[in-house]
Amino acid sequence: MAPSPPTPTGGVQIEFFGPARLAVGQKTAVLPYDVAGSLAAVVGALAARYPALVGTAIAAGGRGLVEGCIFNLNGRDFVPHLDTQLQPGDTVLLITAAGGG
Amino acid sequence: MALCGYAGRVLRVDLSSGQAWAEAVDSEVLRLTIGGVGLGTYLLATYCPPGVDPLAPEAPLLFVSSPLVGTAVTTTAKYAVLAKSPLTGYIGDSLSSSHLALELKRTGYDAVVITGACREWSYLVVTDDPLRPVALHRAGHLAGLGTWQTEKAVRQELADRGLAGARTAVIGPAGEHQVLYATISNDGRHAGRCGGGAVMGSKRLKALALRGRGQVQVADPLRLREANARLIERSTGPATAKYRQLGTPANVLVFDRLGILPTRNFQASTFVDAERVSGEELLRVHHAQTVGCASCTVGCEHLYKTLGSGPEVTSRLEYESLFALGPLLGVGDANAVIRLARQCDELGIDTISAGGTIAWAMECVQRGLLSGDLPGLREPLGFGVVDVLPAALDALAHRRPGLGDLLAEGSRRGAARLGGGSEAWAMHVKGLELPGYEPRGLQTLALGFAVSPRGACHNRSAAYEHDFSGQVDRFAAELGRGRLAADAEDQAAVLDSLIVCKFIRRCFDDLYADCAALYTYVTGWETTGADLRLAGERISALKKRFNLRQGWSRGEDTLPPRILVERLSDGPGAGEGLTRAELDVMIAGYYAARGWTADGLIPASKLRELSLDDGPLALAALPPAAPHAPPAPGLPDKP
Repeated sequence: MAPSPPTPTGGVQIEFFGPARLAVGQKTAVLPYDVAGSLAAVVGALAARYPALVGTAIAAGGRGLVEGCIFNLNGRDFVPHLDTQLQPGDTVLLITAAGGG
Repeated sequence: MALCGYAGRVLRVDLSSGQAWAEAVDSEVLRLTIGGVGLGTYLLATYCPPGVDPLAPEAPLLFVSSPLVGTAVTTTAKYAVLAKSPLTGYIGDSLSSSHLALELKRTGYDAVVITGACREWSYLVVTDDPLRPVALHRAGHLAGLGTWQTEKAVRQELADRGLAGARTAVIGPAGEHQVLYATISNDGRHAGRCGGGAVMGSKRLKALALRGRGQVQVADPLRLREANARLIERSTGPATAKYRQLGTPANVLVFDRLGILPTRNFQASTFVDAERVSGEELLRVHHAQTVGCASCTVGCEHLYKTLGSGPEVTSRLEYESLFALGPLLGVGDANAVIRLARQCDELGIDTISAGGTIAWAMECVQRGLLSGDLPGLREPLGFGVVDVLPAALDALAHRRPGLGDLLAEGSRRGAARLGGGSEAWAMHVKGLELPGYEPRGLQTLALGFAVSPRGACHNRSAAYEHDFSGQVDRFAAELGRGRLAADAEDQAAVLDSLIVCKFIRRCFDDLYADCAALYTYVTGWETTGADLRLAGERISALKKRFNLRQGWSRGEDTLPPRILVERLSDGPGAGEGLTRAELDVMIAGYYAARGWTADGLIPASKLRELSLDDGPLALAALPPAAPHAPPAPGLPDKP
């Protein structure tokens, strides 16, 4: 695994995978903590910054993720609840939670 | 009254005598077992004597259809192959898809059950022609051919005989040499796991060709069309976006980041070259074409081409092949993985078991137990050594003396033969090599692997979905995981019996209720979601009952020693582990959730609840296996 770049102090790093990465055309993004203090806030901030994510990973209206997408916090825990509070320096993975193959 | 969705009969073929005949199937059996893997498990139990050598003539090989095949319902062009697995000694069920499944249905049989053995290499032709339903043709001239060449040759020969449009299931050299994880291939796809190709090879059956013109009768075509329209709409939406856009190789980067990408024979769970063999990189650099199975609106199959030196090769590549021929072997070269996958497909080898067995051997070399030398090569087998791998695959597919023959046995038998403690890093369950999911980082799935009737398998137990859900701690082992694993198995059993592709499982509002509606519209048999859920549990019990008759014992429900002894060394889960005691707690929870005894046996009360104690599915109702004539000297073509 390639080491993740350090998250700027005070920010929340987003890592995109699968269809989300294709939609935004980049691997990572950093959101200021003041607009990304919770997963719900991350959803809203991402929808505003990357409209292509709406319908791909974010549900229409920006109220949550589409079926099959989920957040993972710091590569460890999956977090289904959008009211989850984040800490500065956290890394949020936006992934498609489907196996197969 | 004519059946809808079913033919109500199976075709029995005894290759030893050259005889074939149809047998009726009780409609109650069809209703209780659905079709596909469910019906196949019942038929396998019926025709497979307890204790039989899976490679003996009397061991049956089944090709099984299902009620939804041949209807317009999306993703249902699938069939099941069943046999007693030569790799595990237990149930071997495998699915494949596309045009062959449609031809099987059109022949007018719910299953083709093949026993006996040909005296010389032959291929079997089954049609719906009442005057010539079955024919056997000599196939000595096809021996040694790869799967693609065999399919092409048989189809051309049949076209020349006036049977254009036939589809074929074939074996490659690995099946001919009875490599224990040889595949059966059709339409460029593979019934990959459990060694069905070895069983076919033991019968000296190079190919099965099918051609029919029958139409499927549907009880309620209007409502089926409406339900299918909704399903098709959702199957082209976000729920399947990953499969359409990137295919299953999308898993590589996610699994690497989560620390669940098995690397170097499960010695690590992240891979330094993951980006180089990722779905994203394959799409950007190597993508050649995206295609789909017959009757499918998802279109998940991505074909990739090699670049650079050497002749260009194009291959289908799914995550499991990518993991098993890439990170598991320490290979981070996409060109190499594409070539190796193509070689496995041509030789007719299950990529997961091939990779798992070679990875075991690489670790044996690493530890000084095995030289790993192959004739004519300067370097021995070793992690990340790409150049030796084509020769290793060729050697195992042809069972060349020495390393090739050892690898052809799979990791369990290979370790038993080699000894030296190498069982400790033979990564299998019940003899079936682990797929590309690190169990220590997905502990509900770890339980699913341990108890699965066919051995370590992500397709028969998608318990990882619970680990991915955030509803449970993926690093924790708990009693309650038993219920989750049992439910995951039952759901898979239903999908594998209808048969509906698992890639659209998220396209249903209520999977059981919606599938029950489809089943009702096709068959005309009123079925509820609860009925279907119970059928899933019944089919899981049928699999277990088959294994019990073949000698299953409690100790078989376990995980490789490495998983239970060593802790994860890297990734976000570094330091996490799963002990034998913790696994046993989860297994106890699983048996309890199933209503089985603490020893994993099915009590009479549960058999009764599942309609397995009397009626057509009771053990006493299973007819004795048909007597077999000795192989006939030279099998004539039937007129």
